[in-house]
Amino acid sequence: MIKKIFTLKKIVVIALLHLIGFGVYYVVKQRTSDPVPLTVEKQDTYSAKEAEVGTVDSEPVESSSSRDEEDSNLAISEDSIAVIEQCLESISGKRFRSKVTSLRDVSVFLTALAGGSVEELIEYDVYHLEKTDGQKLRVRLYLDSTKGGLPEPRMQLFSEDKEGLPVLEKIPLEHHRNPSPDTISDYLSKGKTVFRETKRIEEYLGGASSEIIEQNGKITYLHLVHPASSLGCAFNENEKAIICKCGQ
Amino acid sequence: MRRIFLGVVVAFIFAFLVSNSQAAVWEAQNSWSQEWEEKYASWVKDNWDENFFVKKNTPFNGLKLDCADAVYSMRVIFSFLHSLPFAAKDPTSGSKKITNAMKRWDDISDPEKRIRLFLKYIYPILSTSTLPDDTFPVEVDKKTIRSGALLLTDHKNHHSWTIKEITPEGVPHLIYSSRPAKSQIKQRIGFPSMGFVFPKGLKPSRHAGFRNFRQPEHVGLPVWEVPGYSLEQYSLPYAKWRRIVQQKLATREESYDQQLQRLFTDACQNAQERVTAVNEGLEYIAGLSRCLDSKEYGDFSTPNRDQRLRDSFVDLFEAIQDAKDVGAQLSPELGPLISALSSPGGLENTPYSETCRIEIRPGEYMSFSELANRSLSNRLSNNPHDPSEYRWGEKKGRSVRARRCPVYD
Repeated sequence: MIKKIFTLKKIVVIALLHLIGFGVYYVVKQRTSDPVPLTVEKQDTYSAKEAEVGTVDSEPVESSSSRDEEDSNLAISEDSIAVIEQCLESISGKRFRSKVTSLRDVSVFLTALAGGSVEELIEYDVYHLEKTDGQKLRVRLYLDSTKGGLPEPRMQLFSEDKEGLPVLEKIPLEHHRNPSPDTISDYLSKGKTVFRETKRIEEYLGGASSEIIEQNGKITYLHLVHPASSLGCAFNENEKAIICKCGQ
Repeated sequence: MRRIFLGVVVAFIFAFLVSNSQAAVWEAQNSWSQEWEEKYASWVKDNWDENFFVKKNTPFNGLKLDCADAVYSMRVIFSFLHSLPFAAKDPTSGSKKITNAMKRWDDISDPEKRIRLFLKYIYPILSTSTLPDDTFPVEVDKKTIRSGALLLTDHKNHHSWTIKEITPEGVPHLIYSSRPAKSQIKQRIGFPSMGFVFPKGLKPSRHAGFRNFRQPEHVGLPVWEVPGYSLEQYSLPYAKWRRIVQQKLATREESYDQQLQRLFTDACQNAQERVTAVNEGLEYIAGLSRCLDSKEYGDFSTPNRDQRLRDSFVDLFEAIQDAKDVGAQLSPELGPLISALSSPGGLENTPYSETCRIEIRPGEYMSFSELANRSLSNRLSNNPHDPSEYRWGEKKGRSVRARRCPVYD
């Protein structure tokens, strides 16, 4: 009986030691593998770049995306091509000379229709970098404005945690606020660019505007808002194609 | 013996499960629905106020927030308190989301510590520039613009407010913060000026206006696919925008008396807040011989605040003029206020003299009408390098120090 109790105690003690050991290992693993978040003073938004004001072309507009660019553009579903053409025709009274093959065509059409983009705003420009040692970094550039409302670029540097989520890294204030092109280049040269996402807004004459997202040079999202109607196109992961809706 | 062995195995399994049970900032046991949106609106109306982050014995005590931090906190905290999911688009990555499920703090057993760490994590990453991806513009309707919604400015002014509630007269009661980040946030009842919210006009592409949070499953969707998305507010005439919105949100009409009282209170409050902001800046530079750097300058300069103050005077005087133009029957108490506003002595010796005392320096007061006059003639300095006399327009031009130091406007 005594022997049995001793054996039971021994097993419980061993079990507890294992549990404690596991707990310590777990905590240590968590702490050592998680980068420590560093803080940079947060900034808010961005501002604008003025572009030339053009006049509306009265002629039908050429779909000017060259065929050698086709590989860098995402496929649009057949239904959506018809949606785009009908939508833009109803908005502008003009039609494409050639068949729409990509959202780049739409963007070019809109710009040409307005005689040039009236105003372009870069909401953000994000780079994913991979260093030679495998470390992953992200650089986020965006145009903010000073308190007085003047445009000023901002830069943030991130590493990645094990979930692939950003960890803000501390950078000098003068690199964060109004970084020079050389400073930006220095950061971007920390590794090879493996992913890039840019979001911009184009505002055209007559109150129309479009919001455009490009990933690795391909337009994946275009949302045109026109006083007469709207056109929304976005890459659909399930369909593996751009799907569009008119009148949104 | 066999039972003991089984007991140990069960103990191991239990211990393993316990050590891995916390795999999120908080577990979402509920899902967003219309019912939860109603509860969210009620919670904001009843609990969300300017003292929320200074209340003792809460996990949120002492957190320091700027404007967008306050907006995101409202949604995050409600989600945390009610076991609901939260998601925001990761602004550094195409399709990823930052959610309550992130595991970074799994080794911390205290849920209150985890939520604080999560909030501190998102504050520098999410901002007014990321709000457009996490929210959507809504129809101008009592069902959508209500407690828990938000108001966002154009990119140029990068400011945002949360809506605690809409008054019966259709005016938003705003809870908000600004820079430098603080725990004591602010409140006001009123519409910010059109020029401040929509400096480039009513353009949907600028994302300004009333918006609601996306439910987590709608984060990442094209905005036109988000339920409730509407561009109606951009189709209203600019000059009548606030009036139309107020009428649509009101359950009873606002009298001229009420409007003038509200606008007077708002202008007065803006003036008092400027006193605090200027004094904080003066206190900060008092011990410094060097110039402020760009961050410090941004924290203590007041161009936006000064514009808002000026706008509030403009709104007040326009409303007075409107009331005069239509021959509105005002209550006897408002007569002295209106005449005092156009007299050099301001509100002194009127029933309002104690209502809005603007103590620009200890023991030194500026009359409401004098401040209005200086504000409207752009004599107030927003430069934090300037001493008090320049900040309040008693001296014109730029001080020696302001001339010597860089301007980051």
